[in-house]
Amino acid sequence: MGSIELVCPAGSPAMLEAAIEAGADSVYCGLRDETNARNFPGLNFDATELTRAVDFAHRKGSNVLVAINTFARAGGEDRWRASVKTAINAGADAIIAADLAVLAHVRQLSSAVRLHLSVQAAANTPEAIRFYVETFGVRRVVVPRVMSAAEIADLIKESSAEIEAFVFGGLCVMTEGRCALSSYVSGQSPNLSGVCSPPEAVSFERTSEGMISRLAGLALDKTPTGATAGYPTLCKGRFATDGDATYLFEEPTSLNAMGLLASLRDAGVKAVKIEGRQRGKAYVARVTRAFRKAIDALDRGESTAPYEHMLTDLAEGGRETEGAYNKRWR
Amino acid sequence: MMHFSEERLSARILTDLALVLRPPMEMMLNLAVKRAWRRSANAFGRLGRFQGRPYLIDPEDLPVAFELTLFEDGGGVKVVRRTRRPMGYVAEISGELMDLLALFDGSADADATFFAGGLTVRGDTGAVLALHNALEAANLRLADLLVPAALAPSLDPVLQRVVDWRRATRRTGGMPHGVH
Repeated sequence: MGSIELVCPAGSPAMLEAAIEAGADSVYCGLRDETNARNFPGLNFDATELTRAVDFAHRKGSNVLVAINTFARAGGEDRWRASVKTAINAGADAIIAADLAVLAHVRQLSSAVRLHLSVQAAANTPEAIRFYVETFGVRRVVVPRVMSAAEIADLIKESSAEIEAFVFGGLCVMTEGRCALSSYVSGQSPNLSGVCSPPEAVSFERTSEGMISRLAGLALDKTPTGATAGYPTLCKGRFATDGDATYLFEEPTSLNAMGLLASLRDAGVKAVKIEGRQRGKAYVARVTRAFRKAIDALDRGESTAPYEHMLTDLAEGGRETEGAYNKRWR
Repeated sequence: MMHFSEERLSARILTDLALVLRPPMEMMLNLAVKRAWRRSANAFGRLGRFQGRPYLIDPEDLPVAFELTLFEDGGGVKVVRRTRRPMGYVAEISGELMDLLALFDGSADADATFFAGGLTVRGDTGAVLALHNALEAANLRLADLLVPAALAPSLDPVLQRVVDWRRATRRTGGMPHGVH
């Protein structure tokens, strides 16, 4: 492992193997239900697959982090308890959780397994982090994608946990765990159901002028033919205001903070995370390989510049941004 | 108008010719499905409630399309005539053959291909995602789809290079987009 741990997504055993072969230090994955925030049809692991995946990863010197990072539903807590048990029995190196009840349950079952605080918990102050560390023994915090690099650097100075930061992939522009846009339109959210814009509510219509994406019948955007469309999420929708159709929240674009790896490392960021468990083998292999090369270059004292534009065609809308890391607004 | 009719006539002749080859094509593709299932027995179970529901895979640059139905313990492929009438498919996925092949063997990123306009999907978007994830898990190789099993290991790298080259030249303008 280099100076920064590279944490990559795995939506399936095939993706996990692709990520590890491409140079991931750690992979994160979820079980096949609403206990993780990527609960899409055909995705994720069953108990047997998870056990095999952990064995494979350990043989290759990599870690497996299991995301149980949705908020337990009242009356349905058993499913979250079962996922925690499955992850521990499989030999997971860490559990990524956000819900206080899930964190507490993990600690009840095992004092050994590492706890990582999911981005879904949106912990962005030293006080919040201290609470999670002192109460549950949380070892690492994944910081929200709405924080600037300067804010993360300040946070690390007072943080009693390791800090992990997203550096590539889908960009939530809302504070994670607190966004209700998807459930407002479709009735399901990443927070409780594990899905933002559930696929059964999504439709696409190609016309002679382009493609119209809809969520629960509500038109989100119309992309002209030849242009690259964004994901069918309400936060990336285009809306008419004062007679002008514009992206009100955020344009369709992906995070790519490869150019900030050096400053994140120097600020004390312990691990960097790639988003995209729902993508596939081709995506994870290419992104992992590019970031592996960038981190290795950094550790040799070289620039990451040669690798910074290798992934543009994988980005949402074909465009990349450093997101909130360089934001100057509040 | 005459030009349009001639085009339709030649397309129909090509389709009829391709349908003559239906038995060997279906045999080869059904063997491919069986091999994929044997190699990754749990993969098709990822379809969940979409098991047993027919998908239409429609390579726009071929004269025929394919009806794919998968179950937890196997599945089958039929070569079908392209039609505008609704045929009860749970989802229809159309695009150029090279893109579809690259998606089937997991060498192309499905989201990037779709959002760049390289694919069209109709029907249940959840069914499309489930099929993508099941095929990813099946670890198909291009050669599994295109050549007999005995030749697959040696021919797969060659086929992979051909598909990669074809897709790359199209992207970089080495060959016009959509050339048939």
